[in-house]
Amino acid sequence: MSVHRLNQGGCIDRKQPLQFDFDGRSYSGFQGDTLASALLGAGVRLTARSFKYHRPRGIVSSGVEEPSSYVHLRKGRESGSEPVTRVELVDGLSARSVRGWPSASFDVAAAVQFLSPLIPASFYYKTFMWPGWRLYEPAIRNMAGLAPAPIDVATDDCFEARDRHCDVLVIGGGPAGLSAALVAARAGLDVLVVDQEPMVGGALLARNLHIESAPASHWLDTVVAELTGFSRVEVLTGTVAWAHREHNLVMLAENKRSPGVSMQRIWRVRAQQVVLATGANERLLVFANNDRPGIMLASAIQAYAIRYAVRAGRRAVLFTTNDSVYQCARDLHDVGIETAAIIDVRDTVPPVVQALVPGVKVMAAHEVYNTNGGREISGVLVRPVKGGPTTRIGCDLLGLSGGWNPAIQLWSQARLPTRYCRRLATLVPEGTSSKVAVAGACNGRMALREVISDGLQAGLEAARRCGQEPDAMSCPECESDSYTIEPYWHSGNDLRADKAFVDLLHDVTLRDIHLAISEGFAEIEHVKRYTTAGMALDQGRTGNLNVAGAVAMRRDMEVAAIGTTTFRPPTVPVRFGGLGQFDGLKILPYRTTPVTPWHRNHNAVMYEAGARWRRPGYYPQAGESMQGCINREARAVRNGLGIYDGAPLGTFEIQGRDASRFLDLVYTNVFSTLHTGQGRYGLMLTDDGLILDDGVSFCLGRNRFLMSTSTANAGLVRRHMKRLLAVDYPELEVRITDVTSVWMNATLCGPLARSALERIGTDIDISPEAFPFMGIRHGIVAGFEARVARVSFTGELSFEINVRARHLAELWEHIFEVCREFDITPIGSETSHVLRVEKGFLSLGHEVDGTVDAFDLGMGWAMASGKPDFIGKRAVSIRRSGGRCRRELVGLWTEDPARVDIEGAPLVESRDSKRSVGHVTASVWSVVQERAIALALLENGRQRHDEVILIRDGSGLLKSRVTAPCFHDPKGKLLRS
Amino acid sequence: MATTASSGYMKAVLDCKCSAAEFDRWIRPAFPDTAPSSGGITIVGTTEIIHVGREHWLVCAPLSEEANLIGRFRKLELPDSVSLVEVSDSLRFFSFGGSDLYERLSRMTSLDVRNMHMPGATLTEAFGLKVLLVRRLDQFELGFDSSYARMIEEVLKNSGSSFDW
Repeated sequence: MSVHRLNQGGCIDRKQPLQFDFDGRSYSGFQGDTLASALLGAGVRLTARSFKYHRPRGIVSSGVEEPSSYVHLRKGRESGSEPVTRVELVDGLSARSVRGWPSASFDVAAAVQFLSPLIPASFYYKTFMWPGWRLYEPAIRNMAGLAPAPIDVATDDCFEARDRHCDVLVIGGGPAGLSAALVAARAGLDVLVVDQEPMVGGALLARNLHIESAPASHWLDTVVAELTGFSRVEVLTGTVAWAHREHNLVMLAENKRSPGVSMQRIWRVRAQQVVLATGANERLLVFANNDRPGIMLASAIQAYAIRYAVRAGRRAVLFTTNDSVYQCARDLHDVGIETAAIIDVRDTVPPVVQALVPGVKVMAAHEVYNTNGGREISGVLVRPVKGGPTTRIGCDLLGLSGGWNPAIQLWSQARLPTRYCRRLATLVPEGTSSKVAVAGACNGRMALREVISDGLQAGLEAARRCGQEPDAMSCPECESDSYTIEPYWHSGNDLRADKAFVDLLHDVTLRDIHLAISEGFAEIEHVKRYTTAGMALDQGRTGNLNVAGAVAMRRDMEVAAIGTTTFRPPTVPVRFGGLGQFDGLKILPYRTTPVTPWHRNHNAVMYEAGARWRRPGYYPQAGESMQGCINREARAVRNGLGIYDGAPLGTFEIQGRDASRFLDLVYTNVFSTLHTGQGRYGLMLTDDGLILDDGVSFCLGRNRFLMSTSTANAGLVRRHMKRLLAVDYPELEVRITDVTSVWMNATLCGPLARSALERIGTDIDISPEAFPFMGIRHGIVAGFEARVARVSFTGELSFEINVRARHLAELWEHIFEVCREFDITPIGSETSHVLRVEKGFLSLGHEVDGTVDAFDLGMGWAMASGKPDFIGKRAVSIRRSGGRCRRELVGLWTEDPARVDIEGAPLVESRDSKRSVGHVTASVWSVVQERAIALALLENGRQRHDEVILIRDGSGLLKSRVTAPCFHDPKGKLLRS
Repeated sequence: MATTASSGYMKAVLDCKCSAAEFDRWIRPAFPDTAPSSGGITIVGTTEIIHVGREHWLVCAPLSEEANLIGRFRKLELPDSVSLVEVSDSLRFFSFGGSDLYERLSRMTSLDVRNMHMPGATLTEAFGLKVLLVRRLDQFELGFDSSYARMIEEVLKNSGSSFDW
């Protein structure tokens, strides 16, 4: 046991020693320690180097407000900058200080301190300019800053995300929060209590206080026992609230560790009422050399002594502006830390607090204005506040208490106001809210009795707002403690203002604040950005108000008039895995058809093909290349029989009195003239006349239609139609039902499709006369109820056999069984792409790119000029009336018949042209033409057939001849056969 | 006891869209002896009529009764304003029960499923997908689009058949 570790007391388990290493050296601590308490317990005082000047620094606080010592973790727990006070000690922990090479203890870069006059705040806007900032930037960035992003993945990490609803969410498990929770729990409400520490208790864990004449721990145990006995109360420890969003949505990060596993669980909590009992943070004091190792917050020295059984030093001086330090001195005496003197800036110290420390020298109306020491503090220099002789007091520990700042971040995030309270010399919540209550130190109550009483009142209000009328609870008798404070921002006339730090983590000094104001950046938001004060990981918890005070003093204004900067989430760093809710239970959604197992079993290469559907790309056979496979599949369709799984096609049943009128509205062509059993290809436009989608719709009966959409756009089309009916045309009586997953199809395509369907077996007359192209028939196919449609996306004779999804797999197997003699070949989306390019059929995302309209694509025939109106009609007309040159769909024959890798390449008119006149939208190997073919959008393309145009690709210029955009069966005889 | 989850199953489902008055006139008569509606669900023997949205109902029954369910309406000449579509194949249902049920549901959906807050059935979101969520006595039944069934089964399988994580 080191001399810094007490033999008894504390919330550590001495029977579980733990080994860890820091900056390459081995140390030991105990279960229950943080890395900070373990380092202090091992006598390590120099634990960091400062952000910019590489000054030696030590541990300053005991909690999330730590402004000085940060580490990055290794060996399975790789992370960026973590404050040493928040790292739970585990066996085998390996940590490295974020700055200092080779270590914080011995840092080569410490020499930069001599350059400090050259690198004040915002120096990078004024210095290191010649010959250019980039010359210096790498070196400067290397020397400054925090931990690098970890290269190795933390193997211990796992993440989870959960939703939770409750009546009352209490944030903070200290005396105020527990009191509020108890009132709400006794009222029968669903209560969730969260606390960022591994155990509840808050400040009671770090101070020796008495409640009802017994140690406060007794009261704590009683309250916790009662709370956890309620079935509707849940207490989450190790859980920090990091954001307070609208409508009381509070984001929590619960951190749990077990051997080899570090879990962060993100909770999204919706609470009817929120009680903020987040306590307060002590603030530092500003004077020259206020950053040496051994200078800490007074409450931190107290916390390490009581909670972690660690003596941070042997002989302390306490410098204060308020009463809380006196109780601290009393507690330090109990653990053997001598208080050499208490330096109090106030003219008069209340006798009741002075009585707590008999025998301790109290120097009222004095201030610390400088410190001595190198690698750690060795003494303080003291003088009267109003001037006078100086005194040096030797010490190895200096505790600072500039006052207490309520932790109002979550209150502020909830868009609730704050005000500067002169009596407490700090910002406090102002006003009330119907959904958020605030209690305890967070509400500016600093005495224990006030804290508990405030908590009880907050719980009462929360319960009432939840519709309950709980019994009033009386506040227990508490040890009398008072809190008075004199505002004090920094020692005046400070000649060493360049060494008086207002923000330790970003190395911002009092001189920087003065510099910002003298350069015209006098508003607090400008001072913040000019100096970066308050912008570090600690969010300025220990120093922001000092910045405001320094600005007020310099500008001779009241602090209340200075204002404060904005609190934004997260209140503490949250791991990216948690932010992304990287939950092992959640996977990227995907959709499959009933035939997907068959595709996998037949070696299909599966793609995501839009709207999360997984579809087969192609079915390679042994020894076959991808292109060879696609060629084989395409030939099968052109010459024999192919089959594809068309199940993902979006389909909707449209019904109602105004169904046909609605289709006439959403499509460019006419659907109201369709008879039962007839279908028509339609183009759907947006309000600005661009193509939204295309598809075939069939008339199933009077005022009843079956609409098909592209696979990827089914959701978009559905939303488009629902918005039209809800907002623009509410008078239309139309009902839309998504049947995409109800009727699924296997599509036969190729010259042998009709013969194959006859072999499969159907009671539908499938002769060309009885069943023409663009028709739909109901009947039986292979013993299943079916809807068979004659559509073609390949340009060949096709029958789309729709059966109920539950029958599709069986139908598919049956088809393959009976159609062997036709050498039936399954085809994937790659082959579909080739076949549609050969026909010049449009594809969303290729030819339809958000800039072209139907006329550009040669589909003016689909724009029914006789229709009085349809969505997008006016916009198309306006766009085309401008007479501007339009890019039009054409085909391209490349000079090199083998070049297919040109999709997306721009088109130019000459070698020297800098302007492109179009681009290649699709490029494939055609089995029909036995060469490469392409589609393109080309300015005035339809007027330029047989011209030579150049394709600029990565390797140079490729000549190509412009042609009509159809390379197979231009009159469509085959698909109409 | 951990949460248990069934593998996906189908039900007979009719999707009905019409006004409330038309529903009472054309659909409800097919189900005499209807029990009072509770939390959006009306139970008629083994059939459930679920009110899922404005002018939108789902009529559900065990799959074995599909023919019977459809047969109640096949002979009716419903007006154009009443849309009644057979959609049994579009939904795949999964049931979840067990003592950790609420804890596990908290990982699936953001809906407040505590008894007093949740109706008997509602459309909501789970695993980022649209879902029909129905409260049973000690269980919840979730109905997903059937095209996501394999994905849901994979998620349940990866998390342990009894949500054992």
